[in-house]
Amino acid sequence: MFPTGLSSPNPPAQEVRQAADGNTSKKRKLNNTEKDDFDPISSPKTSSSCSSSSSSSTSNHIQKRLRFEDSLDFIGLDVKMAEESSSQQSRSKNLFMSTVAGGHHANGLTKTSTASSFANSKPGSAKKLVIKNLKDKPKLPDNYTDETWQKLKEAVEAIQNSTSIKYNLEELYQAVENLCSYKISANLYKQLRQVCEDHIKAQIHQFREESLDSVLFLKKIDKCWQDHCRQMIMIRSIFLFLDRTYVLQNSMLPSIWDMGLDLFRTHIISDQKVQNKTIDGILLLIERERSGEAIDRSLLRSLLSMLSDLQIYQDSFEQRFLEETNRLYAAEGQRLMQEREVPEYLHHVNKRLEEEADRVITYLDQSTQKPLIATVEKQLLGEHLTAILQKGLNSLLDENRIQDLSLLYQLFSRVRGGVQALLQHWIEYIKAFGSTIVINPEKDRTMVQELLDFKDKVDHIIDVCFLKNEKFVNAMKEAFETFINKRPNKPAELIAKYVDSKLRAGNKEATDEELEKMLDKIMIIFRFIYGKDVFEAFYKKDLAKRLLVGKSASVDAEKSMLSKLKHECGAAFTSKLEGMFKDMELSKDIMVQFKQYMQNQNMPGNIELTVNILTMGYWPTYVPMEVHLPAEMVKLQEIFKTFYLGKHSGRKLQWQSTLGHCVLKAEFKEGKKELQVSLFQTLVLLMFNEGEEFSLEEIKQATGIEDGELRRTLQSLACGKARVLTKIPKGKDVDDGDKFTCNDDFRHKLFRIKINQIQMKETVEEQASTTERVFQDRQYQIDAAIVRIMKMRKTLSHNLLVSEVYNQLKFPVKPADLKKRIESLIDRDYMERDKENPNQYNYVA
Amino acid sequence: MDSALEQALLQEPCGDSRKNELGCNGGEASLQRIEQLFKHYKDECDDAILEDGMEKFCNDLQVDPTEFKVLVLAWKFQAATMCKFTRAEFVEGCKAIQADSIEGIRARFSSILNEAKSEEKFKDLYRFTFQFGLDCEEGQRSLHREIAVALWRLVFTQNVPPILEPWLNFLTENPSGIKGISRDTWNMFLNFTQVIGPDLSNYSEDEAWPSLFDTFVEWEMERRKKEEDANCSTCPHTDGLCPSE
Repeated sequence: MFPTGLSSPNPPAQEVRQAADGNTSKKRKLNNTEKDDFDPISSPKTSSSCSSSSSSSTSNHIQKRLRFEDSLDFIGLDVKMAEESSSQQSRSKNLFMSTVAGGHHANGLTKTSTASSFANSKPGSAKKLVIKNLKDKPKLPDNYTDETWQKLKEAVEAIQNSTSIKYNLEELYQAVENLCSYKISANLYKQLRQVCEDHIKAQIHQFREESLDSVLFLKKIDKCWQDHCRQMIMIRSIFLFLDRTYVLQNSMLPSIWDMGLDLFRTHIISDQKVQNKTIDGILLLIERERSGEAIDRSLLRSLLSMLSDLQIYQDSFEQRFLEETNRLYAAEGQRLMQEREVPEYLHHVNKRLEEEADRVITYLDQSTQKPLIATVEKQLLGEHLTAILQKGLNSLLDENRIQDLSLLYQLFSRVRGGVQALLQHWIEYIKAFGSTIVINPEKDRTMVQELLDFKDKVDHIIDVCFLKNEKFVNAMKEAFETFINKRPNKPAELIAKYVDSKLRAGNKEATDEELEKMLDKIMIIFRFIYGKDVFEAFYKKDLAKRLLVGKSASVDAEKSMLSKLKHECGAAFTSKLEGMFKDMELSKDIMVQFKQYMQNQNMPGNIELTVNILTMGYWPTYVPMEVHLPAEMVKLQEIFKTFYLGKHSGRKLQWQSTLGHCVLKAEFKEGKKELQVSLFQTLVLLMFNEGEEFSLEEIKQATGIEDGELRRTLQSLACGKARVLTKIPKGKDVDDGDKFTCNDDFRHKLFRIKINQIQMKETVEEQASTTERVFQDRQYQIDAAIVRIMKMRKTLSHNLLVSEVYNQLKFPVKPADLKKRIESLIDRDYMERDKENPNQYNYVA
Repeated sequence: MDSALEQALLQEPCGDSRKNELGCNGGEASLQRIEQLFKHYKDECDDAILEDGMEKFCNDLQVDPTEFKVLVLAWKFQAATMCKFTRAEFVEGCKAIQADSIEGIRARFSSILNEAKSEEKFKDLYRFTFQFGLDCEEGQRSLHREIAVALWRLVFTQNVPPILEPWLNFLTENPSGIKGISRDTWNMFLNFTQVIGPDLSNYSEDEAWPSLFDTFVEWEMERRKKEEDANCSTCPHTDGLCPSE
């Protein structure tokens, strides 16, 4: 769990944190000066004596120096070093520590590098130098060892008891070095260890008191630990020479610092009572903090890094901590899921996660982060995924709570399976909500607008909350496809009508740009629809109306819609629609020619005729209706017929009286007016040029208009907004025996007045017949597909035939309907059932 | 006479043993006698036995015109239409069953009925029945629903499949409003009786069954479920009776 570089925990690792507050630059500087100090000294050495190992490091030189004690320069240097460190100690603790940090680190480096460099240098350079310098060795006084040790021991005890040291540190350092030089390092180390052990052993008693409050206890432990560290650092500074020579050479021995840790671990923390109390205390503090109390975080940090340093963090603390966390959040998750609304709960979870992350940064060991966060995520989220979604997702989506949804997504993506679960509910929500838009016939009027709004909303949520996750986009598309097609045909019809309403003139809601954007959105909805032929049929019918009445808002928009449809469904889909546009353009040309023709004819009369030539098949089918036209009109028709057939022989013209419209000039008491009316309305109105009053029956007789149509026409003229006729008796509906007179008192603020045909009932019929036609078309298409396939395959099993037919058809068919078509084809001898295998069909040529 | 006798002998390899069974009038199926028989029932204008003649013929045979025996006889005679035997059909038919008299025909009934029991022959009879029911002169391609019901009941006289009654009930109630039964549907019903178990559990809409069967199975399952529910709701009632005893 620990980073590999810090395999032996030591104060530097710990103190760097404190130093990081502001002294990092200084520390680095110190490190540098330290190195600089070494370098000039090492260079003469390398050049003079050990030229063979030019690559040896600074530590290597220290190593060599040990062999040539007579070289005073070196000793001088080390003293200086010690001085420097001791003076710094008084200035600032931090600085002192970091100095040591550098030194200690160097020490660590030495351990590895010396081993190899020794092996390299032994046979060559070392031999030569030894002979030269080992001639006379000064002897020490006999009691020197004991006295010196006493001095050192006193100093150590003074440090341990926090009293002042009698000797100056330089002297002590030198003493250690001297002792080491006389090969009593082993003894020295043992003695030092003994002194330390005795002291640490004595510390345990203060923790034995039962009554101690846990926080006080923790503080006590912390203080003991801090003292221990401080003392060990000082002791080590004094015994630095021992640490760097003897200890280094014996890989089995722990460094003085590590020895200190060892002793502390063995004698203080490994005491079961002390350890339990410490851990319990820490956990108690954390629990208090989790429940909202303020606690001494630096105390926790210090204690936990102590555990890390002592290498018992994982075993003694982390495991229990995670168990506690698990238990706490399991309970909290259960409770809060009951008590709180989902958004509130999510915010709480988020807060918890932030808190725990902060905990890791502030006082836990970094290694705890993963299991800790995972535990919180599991207990607060993972266990409640479905519950959260079931309880809260719908209302979040209903209310379009963007921020909460973002949080939901963000939290769910932390947990395994979270996004998948969200995705599932997301699909279900769209299907359910979409179905409510589509299924209810009462909402037909607003269906398309609602679909567009819903799509916008859903897109926005994916973009903002779900980070444009492709899975969500695809799932959304599938869900749309599913619910839109839950109700066959109607959505297609309504989309066509919606487009019509937008493309019709008089729609001033939108600019061209907005219209274009809207059409793009419509196309996205359109894409989901299976029965595109239904759309086409209705679109065509509406387009015909727009074109014939000249009510299209903009040719550009029409063309743009057409190209979108072409792009979406292919050229075959739009060829008829394009044909309609072509007809309109050709008609314009023809009318120009016809006008010239008329001028040459020198025809008297004041009627202007405009004809649109519609190619049969491109346009919706209109039932021709025979009516009695006035002689002038008939004559004009004949002239046009001669003109047209003269240009295109072999064609047949059929006049569609239902589609005609006229502008009539009328003179009322108020003044002159122009009436824009349908051909039927015209026929009725023209009658009043000849007489004052007509009954329903008389009008029917004279005009030859079909009864229902005539009643609607009269209704529009006598009972609508602009009443140019007066009905006797008054009333909303036209009944048998009603009489009509011309309304001379007719008033209107406009000069040109459009009188709309009453069409309510008609559209219902129209719609039914359009749908009917689509279905008939479909039957032919199914039959054609089956025969095509059978002709190619000759023999095919039922299932293969069905699946091939489905591949070919572009609209939805129920399997039962498909079967009926197959049966019908069998009945009509296009195919037969195989005599041996009833599941197989044969093509009948 | 001789040649006729010879013919009769040729057509009846096991003649000797049968001769006695054929009846009191000597029993040999002679062409002449068949012709005489035909003349006896023949319509005055048409060269065929029509409704009146048929009724008389059935009376003489002592069978009901709507009986299975008549159907089987028509099948043996390969009659194209109901209530009508052409001369060719009658003569060839009599020759085929080797009978030249009313008694002769009557005597053959049991063996013909037996013959119709074999699966292969029955299939032939079954398919024949559809054609037999069509009104050829009107160019019908499908059987009228009511005629189909009657014919189904008739053709299965000897071996009633368990599913027949529900099927005919379904057709009588006619929830899907069909008018005629197509040849394919007729033919497939025989398969249906052979393949599909009485509980209908092995029926699958995905197979090539005519769609009318889909509707039928759905309708029948629904009906059975309702029946079961009704039975269940009466259960507690009977339970209630027990303790009172």
